[in-house]
Amino acid sequence: MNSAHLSSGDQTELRFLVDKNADGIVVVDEFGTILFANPATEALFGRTPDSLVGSPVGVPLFTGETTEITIHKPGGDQIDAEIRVVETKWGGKPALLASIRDISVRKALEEQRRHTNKMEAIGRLTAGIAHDFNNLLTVVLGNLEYARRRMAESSPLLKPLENAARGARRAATLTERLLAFARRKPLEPKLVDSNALVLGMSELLERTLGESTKIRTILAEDLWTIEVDPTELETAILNLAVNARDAMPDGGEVVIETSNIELDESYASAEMEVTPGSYIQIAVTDNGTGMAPDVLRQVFEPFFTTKRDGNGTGLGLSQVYGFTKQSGGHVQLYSEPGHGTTAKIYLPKARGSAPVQANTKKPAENFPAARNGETLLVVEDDQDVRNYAVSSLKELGYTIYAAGDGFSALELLKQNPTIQLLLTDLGLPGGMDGKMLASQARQLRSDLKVLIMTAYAWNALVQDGRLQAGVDLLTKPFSASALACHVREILDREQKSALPAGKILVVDDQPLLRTFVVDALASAGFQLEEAQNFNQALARVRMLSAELTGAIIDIGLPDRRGDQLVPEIRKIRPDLPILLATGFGQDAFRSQFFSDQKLRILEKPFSPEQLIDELRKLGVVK
Amino acid sequence: MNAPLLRLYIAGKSLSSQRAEQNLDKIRSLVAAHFTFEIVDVLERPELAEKAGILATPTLAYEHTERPRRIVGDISDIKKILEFLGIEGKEEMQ
Ligand SMILES: Nc1ncnc2c1ncn2[C@@H]1O[C@H](COP(=O)(O)OP(=O)(O)O)[C@@H](O)[C@H]1O
Ligand SMILES: [Mg+2]
Repeated sequence: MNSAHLSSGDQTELRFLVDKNADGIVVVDEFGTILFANPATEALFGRTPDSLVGSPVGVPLFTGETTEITIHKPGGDQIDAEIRVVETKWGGKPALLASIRDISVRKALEEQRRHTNKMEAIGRLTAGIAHDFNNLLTVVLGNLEYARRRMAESSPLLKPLENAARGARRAATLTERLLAFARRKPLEPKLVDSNALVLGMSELLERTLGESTKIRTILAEDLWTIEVDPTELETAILNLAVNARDAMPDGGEVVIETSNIELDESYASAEMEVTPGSYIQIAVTDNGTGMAPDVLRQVFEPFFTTKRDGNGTGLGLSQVYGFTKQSGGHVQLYSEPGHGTTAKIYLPKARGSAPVQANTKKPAENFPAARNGETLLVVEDDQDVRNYAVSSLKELGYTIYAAGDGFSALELLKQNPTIQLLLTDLGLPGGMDGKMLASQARQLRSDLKVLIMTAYAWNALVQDGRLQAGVDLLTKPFSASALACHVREILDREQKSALPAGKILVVDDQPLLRTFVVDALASAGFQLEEAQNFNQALARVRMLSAELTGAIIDIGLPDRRGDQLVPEIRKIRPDLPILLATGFGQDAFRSQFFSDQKLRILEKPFSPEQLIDELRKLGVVK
Repeated sequence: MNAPLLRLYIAGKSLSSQRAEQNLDKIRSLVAAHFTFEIVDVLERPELAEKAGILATPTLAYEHTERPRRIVGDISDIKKILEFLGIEGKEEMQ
């Protein structure tokens, strides 16, 4: 802007550019006094350009092209700005022209990103430690429990043992919270009505918060259903409520409010890591001490606490943070020092809402034992954990096979059709993890129950936010009683569900094929009758008659053809479901038995799943 | 006579404030004998900043009765700053 060298036309144009510039432009003299300020400076400094002229802003002296400054507006607001300087002349004297750009938004985003990265790094570190710790605690707790059970009630060692166990359990609670922060805690999402959940907590909240803290709930009508782990959500609300109480040492009111909310693009772009969409909001508000900005910046970090004398663990908000993130939501804190705090949890609306069931967990009875001949396969690479699981289960009467990796586990499964439940660690050596093992095992045996042991919630385990059907989770570390209860529950579930009453007759002359079919059906829970030829089969049908729920008949029998057996059976049991197994001429048989609703053709070769599937189509299996 | 005062206005622990404090230490090590130094955090003492008419931080103010001068920014160009304050460096001052 060396005006001496510009024509008057140029000057007008230049003036226009300066006036319309989105950046603030000031000219200062050699002592740092403002000589000129363009209109954009008003938004930056909160003062009119006229009033800026004559102010001693200072000479911008710095190395490099740009530098950052903080502009302080009247009233205390701040703006982060970047300035860039060129030398010029003003009224014939040397001067400096500084252009000033508002970078508050950019800085805020950078800060958020930095914060997120930091939390990620802490999370990874935490998860790693907690994971190893859990394995160790599993061993400690298991052996303590084992020793205690062997101890006479009168033994003086009983008390120290119980103390040790209590200590170990507390350590386990801590590692669990660390995993929650690191978003590695296995979640069991269910459809949740948050209003009902909040109401269901009222007694717990009243008891926890004490007399001097009042609780008020404002619950939205028609609140959307969400799909989260209800236990973790309760924990999160409790953590927020406890913080609210602690912020009001002389008592006060905690307000818990639920509402539906649509987060749009603009909200999502201002808050990193938020996907636009439908959420429910649970807000917990107190009128307590509030938090200063430098406290607010750190509250989500594990172990950050301002509470003295062991009153705080610094893990409350860490859990809230980890849980909401892991559930596809997020958490926001608004705090005004001296006035109070609102914590807002956002959780995504469940896709395709369905009726909600209350989460009623029955307290576990102690150590439910095995029923006759129940057989389990335990797969775990950590020898101590494996020994512990195996010996606990053996003690309860289960027959146990054990393996240290996925491949030997599959071998064992093939050789031992009696195995009903696969109990496997998630992390296994040799390239096949617990999840892969589970899916291969279930290809082998579709009815096999699977219980995965893990301290982590690997995304891989979860499809669309839930566990695969038929797969259950056991969180490490676990006590012998938790193990016993979980195993019992799964095995019982099996029996109540699709287990058909009655027997299935398998007619085949080839022993290998017959064994294959019998094994497949036995492991699906069927009772079986076998026959090797036409006459034997007919005799069985006559004898068992009503006891039979189905028959699987091979066409090629030594004495007479299998298809000729059908009309004979129909004389006794017109409605008995029949599978006719054949390797050739399916079409001919199809047309022959076209009108028989209770007969299907099973093409060879077939897998156990196809077999079960055909039985399902006949209504033998639900 | 009292040594003249160099006063640095900063805002909390922002990056530019920290940089300016570091640079002030360097300046201090060069001309310590001839100035007194003071740091004012405008977040803690807003009334001081208000009174001095501080528009932005960091700002280094040379509170000299005859020729008060101000520098805005992280005061990283130490050589120019000493020049501007009328000091060429330690040697020249002796
Ligand atoms: N509602 C609140 N009001 C004021 N300060 C809070 C509030 N909630 C959390 N804080 C601050 O955040 C810190 C961390 O909270 P949290 O993670 O729950 O751990 P803890 O409660 O064990 O200290 C607390 O020590 C407190 O300083
Ligand atoms: Mg807390």
